[in-house]
Amino acid sequence: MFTVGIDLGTTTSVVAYIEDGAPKIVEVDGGKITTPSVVSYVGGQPIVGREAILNGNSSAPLFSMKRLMGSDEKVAGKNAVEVSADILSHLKRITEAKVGKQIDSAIITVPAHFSDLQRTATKQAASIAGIKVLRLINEPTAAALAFGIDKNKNGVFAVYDFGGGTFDFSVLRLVDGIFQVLATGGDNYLGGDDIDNKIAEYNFQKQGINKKELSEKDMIAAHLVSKLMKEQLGESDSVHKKYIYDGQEFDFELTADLLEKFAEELIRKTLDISTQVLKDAKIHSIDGVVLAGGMTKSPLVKRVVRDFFKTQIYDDLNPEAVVAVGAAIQADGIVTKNKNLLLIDVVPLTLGIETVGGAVDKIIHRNTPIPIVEKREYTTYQDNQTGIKFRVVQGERALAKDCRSLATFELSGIPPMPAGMPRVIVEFGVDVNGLLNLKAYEKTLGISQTITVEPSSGLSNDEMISILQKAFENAEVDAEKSKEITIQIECERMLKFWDSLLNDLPEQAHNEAEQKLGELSNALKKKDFTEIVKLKTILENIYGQYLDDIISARLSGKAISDIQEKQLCK
Amino acid sequence: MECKESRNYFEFFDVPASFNVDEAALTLAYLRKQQQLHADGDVDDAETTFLNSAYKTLSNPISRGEYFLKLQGIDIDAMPTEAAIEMFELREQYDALQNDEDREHFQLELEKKNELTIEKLKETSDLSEFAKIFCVLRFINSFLEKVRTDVYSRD
Ligand SMILES: Nc1ncnc2c1ncn2[C@@H]1O[C@H](COP(=O)(O)OP(=O)(O)OP(=O)(O)O)[C@@H](O)[C@H]1O
Ligand SMILES: [Mg+2]
Repeated sequence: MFTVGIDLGTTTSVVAYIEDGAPKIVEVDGGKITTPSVVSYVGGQPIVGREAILNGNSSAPLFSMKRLMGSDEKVAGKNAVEVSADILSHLKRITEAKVGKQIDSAIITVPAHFSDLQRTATKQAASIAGIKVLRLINEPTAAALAFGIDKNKNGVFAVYDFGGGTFDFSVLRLVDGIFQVLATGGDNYLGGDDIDNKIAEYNFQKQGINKKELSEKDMIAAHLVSKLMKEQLGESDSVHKKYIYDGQEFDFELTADLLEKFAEELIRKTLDISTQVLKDAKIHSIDGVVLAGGMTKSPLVKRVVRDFFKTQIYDDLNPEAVVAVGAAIQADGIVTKNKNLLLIDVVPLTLGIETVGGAVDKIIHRNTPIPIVEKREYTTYQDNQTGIKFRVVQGERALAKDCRSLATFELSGIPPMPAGMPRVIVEFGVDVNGLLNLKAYEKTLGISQTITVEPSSGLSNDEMISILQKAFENAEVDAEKSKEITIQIECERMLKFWDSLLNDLPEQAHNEAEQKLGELSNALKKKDFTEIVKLKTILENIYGQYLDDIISARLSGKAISDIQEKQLCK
Repeated sequence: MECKESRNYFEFFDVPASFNVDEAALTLAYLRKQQQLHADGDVDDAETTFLNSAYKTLSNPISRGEYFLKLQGIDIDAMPTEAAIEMFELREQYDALQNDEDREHFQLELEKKNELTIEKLKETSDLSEFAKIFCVLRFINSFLEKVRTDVYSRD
């Protein structure tokens, strides 16, 4: 049984697994732990990760599609579910190649604050990618798990998870291998991406660049430059990068003061949410705050968090890996039936039914432990009414129109009776994945109905079936094609890609790569597969370690050798 | 299924059947049961669901009070007149508030009142008196819920 934990992030994804009792992270691109959650399509075929960012032959790459999970919105004709499925397929493939085993099952993490629709969409993506989902678990809970196992601590801890797209805050009680979530809260549209937008916006204005004239690729480059400046600022006062557009060079900048200004409102929001969650958890004090998410690497964020919580801050686990590691620990725990590890999570958002006046009848309150089932009785308000319509909503607001609508359904076939006579029971169940199941029945006569919550946005069941069929057919075609042909096609593509990057490599690597590319080209002609596979690995290692630098250098129009010299001088 | 649901929650957790429940003891009993179920291997979803429902019912003062009164076979009484007037006045005060700061302040005061009423209930052994005060608590609580939602929905 090979099981993994997958952190399918807005900006980066990570896969981890347990080997001989210790967590291992799947290394990609010659030693990196993260795969950018970026996809571009070349002739309809998905390319994922660093290659997607660099591949000049593709249409504009798709970034941060997780932000659109559970919505109908399409970008370049692609739904977030399809793009996520392509990322997951890629992660599955590289993991299997690296570890040499087929993935039997996986835990996929989702932001704690993800709604039912967003969770369903994530499950759909996994099933399109052919991954059996053992469970969906919440990202901050996973981070707490990794922390708790690593540090072997008891007490009440909070997880402050500030990622690229989302913010989550959870409070957990840790007692002897039990991880009990006491309360959770967050914002699905609050992340590093929003700061990148502000940095780009500032520089457009300062340089007098008219945003409307930018092509999609120019826009992406500007955001990437902004993101890089944010990540590289660290403790220094300012960072400058060249931004090239329309053959002209612009000086993009980010200073510590500017970052503070751009991040201020977002950070304040994270602290407001944290305060609310601490209140909801009804505890007097916490023993520490665990940091997760790439944004917590920023010294600014770290400082604010430290000042605010006035308690021990745990930042020694890599905040980019901690979620995947926690997911791997839980996946392993389930598969090996580990009795000493138990996770009790909660419902993140209140579930209810819209009442006649447009208010919400709250049925399952947020922070209720899962799994849970709640019932409510309703009746007719007109004589001889034969059906009752229900609208299921999720959210904390008082009015249904301000909450997210999950589903509408009607219990019909009620025999004519005076108003108030029928007793219609609606049963809400939330399972361990945080997914909602609905049932409705008339108690006196026994008319019943089980409602599958078909997302009122995102992929419909029909769309899902057709995509699955396609994926299934492709899998069959793939199985027919011998493994060798697949490798041949992939290496031919890689050859072109690597060739296009040759001049970006520093001299020594350049020479080595050039020679190996020649050998690969020969091996491909001769169809010498042992040699092809060998060379592919060597080249992946040569290029892998430079890909991030190449991305950075290309964006600021520098040769990578300059960057490396500078780094040496430092 | 029916039989499971009719189990007495207090007995299930082995805590005295009283509104004045020792919350730490309750949580400990809950976690033990969770661990027990988990250790028994295949976690029966229905059993875990029952456990979660029972814990949730007893850990929240409102649902605990309702459950306690139901066990005693007592219907929740109407609110005593003075209390009803006081509550009515509270609502009027709240509706007249103009800004967020005042609302937040009001919320804090109401939270305090809520806590005090809970404490008072814990010390009330006379059942009919208990039912009356509980009625006040229920009102304060649903009012508080509204105030909290207003403050929460501010942005
Ligand atoms: N050293 C750094 N300094 C500042 N920000 C950083 C640093 N490293 C990464 N980031 C930022 O962290 C964010 C990515 O964090 P992470 O990889 O945890 O998010 P994610 O898992 O992709 O997103 P989410 O969890 O929201 O779905 C990006 O905005 C990135 O720019
Ligand atoms: Mg993340």
